[in-house]
Amino acid sequence: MIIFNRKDKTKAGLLGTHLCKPVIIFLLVVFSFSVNTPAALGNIPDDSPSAEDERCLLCHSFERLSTTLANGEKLSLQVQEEVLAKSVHYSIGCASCHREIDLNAHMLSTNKKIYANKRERSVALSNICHECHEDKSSQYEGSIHASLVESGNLAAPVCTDCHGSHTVKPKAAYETLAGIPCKTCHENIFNVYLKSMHGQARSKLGHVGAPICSNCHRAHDVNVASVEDRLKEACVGCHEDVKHVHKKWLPNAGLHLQAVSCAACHAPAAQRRVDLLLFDSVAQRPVSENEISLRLGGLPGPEESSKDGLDAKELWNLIRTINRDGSEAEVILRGRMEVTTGEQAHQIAWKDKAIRDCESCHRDGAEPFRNVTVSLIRADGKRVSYGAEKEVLSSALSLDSAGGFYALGGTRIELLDILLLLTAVGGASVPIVHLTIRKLLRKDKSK
Amino acid sequence: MTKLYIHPLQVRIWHWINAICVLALVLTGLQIRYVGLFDIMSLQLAITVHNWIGFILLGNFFIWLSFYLFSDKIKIYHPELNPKKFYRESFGQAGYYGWGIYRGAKNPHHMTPYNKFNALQKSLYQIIMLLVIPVQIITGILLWDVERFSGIVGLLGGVRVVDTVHVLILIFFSGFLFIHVYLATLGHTATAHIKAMFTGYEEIEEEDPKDSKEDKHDDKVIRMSTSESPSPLQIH
Repeated sequence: MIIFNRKDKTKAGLLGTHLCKPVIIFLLVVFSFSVNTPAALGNIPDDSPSAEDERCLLCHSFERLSTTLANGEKLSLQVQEEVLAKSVHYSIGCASCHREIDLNAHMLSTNKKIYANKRERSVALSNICHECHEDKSSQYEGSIHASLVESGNLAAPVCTDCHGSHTVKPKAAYETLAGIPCKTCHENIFNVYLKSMHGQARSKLGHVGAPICSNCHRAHDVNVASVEDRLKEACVGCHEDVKHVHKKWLPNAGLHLQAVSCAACHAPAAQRRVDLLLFDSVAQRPVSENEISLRLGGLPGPEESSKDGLDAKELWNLIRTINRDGSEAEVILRGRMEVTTGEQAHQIAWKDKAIRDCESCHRDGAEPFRNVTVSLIRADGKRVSYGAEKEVLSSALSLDSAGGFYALGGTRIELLDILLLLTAVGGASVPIVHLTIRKLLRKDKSK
Repeated sequence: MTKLYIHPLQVRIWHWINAICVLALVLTGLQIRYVGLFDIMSLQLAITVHNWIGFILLGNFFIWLSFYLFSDKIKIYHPELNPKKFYRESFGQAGYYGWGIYRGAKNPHHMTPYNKFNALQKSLYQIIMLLVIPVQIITGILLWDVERFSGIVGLLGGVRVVDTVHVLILIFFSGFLFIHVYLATLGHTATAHIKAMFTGYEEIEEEDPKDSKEDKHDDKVIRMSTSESPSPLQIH
């Protein structure tokens, strides 16, 4: 039995659509006959629409059936039966999703809800998906897409943006390069991915195990892969022996895998940087923008608005201010070498092209240490980065502010270099001076 | 000149292994820290060599420690508890190095097997062997596998703090080695102390009887003139 929900009475009926009245009257007549069709009596094959669905399609198969939204947008109300027939939802019937519609009053109703725009309608109708797909829905709620939707981002996808409304396909359809919905919005990144070794392995070599978007970013709890350890988990998920392989040649392999993102070496063409993430060492999670804002009484603008970026003293003061008396959390800077952009993160090259030259990072003035950012995580899961001067990694103050991040050679403290020079010169001078005085005085004595 | 058996075999073995290790650690340490400034070897090789030598130094440290823990020779490291005597001897020794040596004065310290170090050496080697070397070994082990010891590294303030302590000690040794080698040439000949560190025997100038008020252990040592038997004995 189909339940028609009368709670959501709409404000405008089909009369408000662009079909003229005679057509509607004609449809009503046809509709009245249709309830007595064989389909309605249950003598229908499994792949045929139910009687109720046929009633819907009577009108909604018309190409010109549309409605006007509050903002003037024209919304097509056509549902192509042949498209619907290929959908995994075909068998559940129209009313399973469109529960708010009262078929008896549908066409004549004058108080149908008029959505402000297509976006508002998509967001509202997506809530219906949650009722059957609770698990996927709760995963989605924690995703960056959901956070962006909540923050009012008009481009962030809801269920129907990826799955379509009447074209929902089987899961396997989305796991092919042709069926990936991500490329609709992330076309640039997808094109970079296609050229990467992962994309090539899948598209040209036919390795179906090679990852596509959802393998790293996940399908519903989509998130920025670089946040926390998700990227590492994504890589290690397939490359299980990664630690063992790196330990064979890389000193302190475990530390490297923690502090260097995979792409920093495996995307050799990418520009690298060091990101110092504000991290709560007590709660073991990144500090949110709100927490920092509360403690500091506001935040400066993101890196684009900063001319020179934070200098060593400003960063030191920032950490001290955040950790001042009364705060339970102990905020530290967790450093990590990453690539600069999301597109670069997808430029994964074949293994033999990966950077193995230690000196490319562990030398004074190495590229990654000239690009420094300080970042925190926004409520929507996205990272906000603030520019910082490269001296934040080589100042003596970094001992206190960035004690947890150090790269041999690349981020050494300059003061220690000066001290070493003075000590070595001083140490070498003592014998020279002492010996010289001894010889001079011996000559005096012999005279 | 008399010969005194000052440096037992274990101490000599420890000393020369330690000398080679410290020198190699300083050089590889500088290579690790200053990649690009000079490239004697690759960073990877420098780190591997540095780690291996570090562990040799660690084992060697325990040779030194076990020898002195189970020998009465540990007295050479006993601190001078009399402050007055400590300061008098320290200033006296500093005065000798800074002035007396120029005027041909005699070294105020009289070496014996149980009083091997002068006041300054004793203080310095106490600090080096009981503080500097252990701290360098511990920080070195922490840096060798930061992930394995991440808990301790975190408690100490992070990898940068641990590395800075390690580098500060490297800095200390980069100055100390010059002075140590130079002071080793201040025997009655330039190579006397160095030779002694191979043979174990120091050549000691005959003391003025009125200055001979050394500790009781001196009485147990058979002093032998250089013209006498070439195989001096030591009685414990």
